[in-house]
Amino acid sequence: MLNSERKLPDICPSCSASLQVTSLGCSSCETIVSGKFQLPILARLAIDEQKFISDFVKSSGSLKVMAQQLGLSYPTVRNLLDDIILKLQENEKSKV
Amino acid sequence: MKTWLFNPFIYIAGLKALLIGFMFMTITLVISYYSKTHFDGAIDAHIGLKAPISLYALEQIIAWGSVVLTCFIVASVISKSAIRFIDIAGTMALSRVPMLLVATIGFMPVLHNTKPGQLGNAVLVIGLIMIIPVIWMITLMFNAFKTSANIKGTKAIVGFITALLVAEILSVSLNQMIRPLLLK
Repeated sequence: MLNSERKLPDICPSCSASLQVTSLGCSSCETIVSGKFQLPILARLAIDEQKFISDFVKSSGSLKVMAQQLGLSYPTVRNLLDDIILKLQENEKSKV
Repeated sequence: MKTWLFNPFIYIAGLKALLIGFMFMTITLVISYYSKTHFDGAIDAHIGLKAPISLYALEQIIAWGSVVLTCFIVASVISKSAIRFIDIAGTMALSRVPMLLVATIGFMPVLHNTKPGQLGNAVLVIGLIMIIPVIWMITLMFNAFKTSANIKGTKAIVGFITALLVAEILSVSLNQMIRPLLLK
């Protein structure tokens, strides 16, 4: 599996609490930055959901264009978007 | 294949579904006129009564329209998504494609030669065969409702049954009103 296809883990496998980023590394000079950083809310979504949001923004937020690109009907694409919105709202609530 | 048979609305909805649905409804209308098959209710089919083609056409419009109307009202009440009327209208029109099979089965001579109260085994077997496309249509309608309104689980089942029951009462009542006017 390619690195880009792997979902960033956001839940602790041991206690199920939300994971935080504690270090970031530079792939060029190998500098490491340590600290406690919250995972961005979009990073908590599944890979295909992240791709959907990226495509949605690229198509200027047009569900009709998205439906044409994905070969799906308008309500199917709208339902996918509604499900992501619901998931984001739940993630925001759980964060608070 | 299974998706295309039972939930084509993942790929087709809106105006496209409406045009395809109307095309099939027109073909069904012509066949049903010659096979004397009446779609005189949201999910009904009855065979035998000779009538002008305008009655067959109105029956189909009432059957489709009543389901569209009730499903749209129920979906507007229980769904949190922004529902488009054209999606409900289009997907419900496309859901009526199996009625083409029912109208074709209506040509069976045994169905026209049966006297009231004398149901033979052949009629019962054909009756059972006719239930298959009706069940197929109801499955399509349910999936059309779910996809068009973004409703899932128990909410979808209860909402759909409610809408279908009201549509059945509405369509049968309307048909009883128009039938005497067109059979004069």
